[in-house]
Amino acid sequence: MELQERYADLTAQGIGMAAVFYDPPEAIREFAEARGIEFPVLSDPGSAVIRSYGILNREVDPDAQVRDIRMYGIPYPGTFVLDSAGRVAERFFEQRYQERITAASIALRLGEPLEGASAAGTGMDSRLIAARAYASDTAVAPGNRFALMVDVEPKPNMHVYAPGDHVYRVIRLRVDGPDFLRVHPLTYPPSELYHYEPLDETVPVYQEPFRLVQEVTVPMTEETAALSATPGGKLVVEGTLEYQVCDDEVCYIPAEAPLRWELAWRPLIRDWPDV
Amino acid sequence: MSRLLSLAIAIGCGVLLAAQSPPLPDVDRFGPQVGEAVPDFALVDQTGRTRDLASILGPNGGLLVFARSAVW
Repeated sequence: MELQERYADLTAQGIGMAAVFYDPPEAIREFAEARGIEFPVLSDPGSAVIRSYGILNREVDPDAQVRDIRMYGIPYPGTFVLDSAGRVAERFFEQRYQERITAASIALRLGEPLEGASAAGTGMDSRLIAARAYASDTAVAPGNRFALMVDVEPKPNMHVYAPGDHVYRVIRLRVDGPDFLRVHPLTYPPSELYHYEPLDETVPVYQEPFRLVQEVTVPMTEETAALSATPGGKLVVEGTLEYQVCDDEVCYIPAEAPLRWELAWRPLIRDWPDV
Repeated sequence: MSRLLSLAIAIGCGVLLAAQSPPLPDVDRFGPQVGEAVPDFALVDQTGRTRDLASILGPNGGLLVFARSAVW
């Protein structure tokens, strides 16, 4: 119940929250009671509001059923981040109805990390560069999209390379496993231009501490459902930071550093979706 | 013969394409975009209370989450 866990934090930040489902009021009531949900869970039977928002899921077969319930009427899953006047500040939508981005990773994208939401991973430290791994969430469920982060600190006078038109190795994060993870494009912060006088070349670099954000999705499959239901099971993500460090005189050999994230699984309770 | 071969290849490719799942929609196109106001609503919450948009927003706005289903 990721949203419920974030509710207090969001409320403290003056941010409201509600979830809309196409299910009838009785189902909503049972769902909220069983899971201890305090934020408003809204019933939109007939999907009138979902339609008025223009997000009715049209990929669903009109005849398809799950446990005698017609699937048609569900929205494309997603979150609108609204300002106090109800205008869209940000929006995060998923193509697959089983999937949803976590509130913690939305907060991260908005630059307002939630207290106690993130998990620390491993780190590395050398005389050229230091890096530390974090995750947006401490626990994830099948279907969740969340963020792996790497905070990188080039040591004094050192720089690493940002994407751009040059021959140096761009710093990047490679997600090595598990294989079921779907890896989204890596997000880089703005870089700065560095002028290397001996070659009179100008290249995009990072000289100050910066953060790489790598969103990944745990697809909802039988494999991940089984893993998430295993008592004490962990989601261990292995990755590699690839980089090249240079200073004003020397370019060091391109290097790699292993990174590791360990998250708890949030099991799917009674086959209900993780909200 | 070469025409027959290319026909066979074309059919083979067609079968391969048909076996793939249809392309996923570009969901970023759907619904209110950044800067636009979202439609108001009147929906019943789990306590039986009717909620509109203003009632779920805080002083700094809010998250409006659309999820699959509370039942399946």
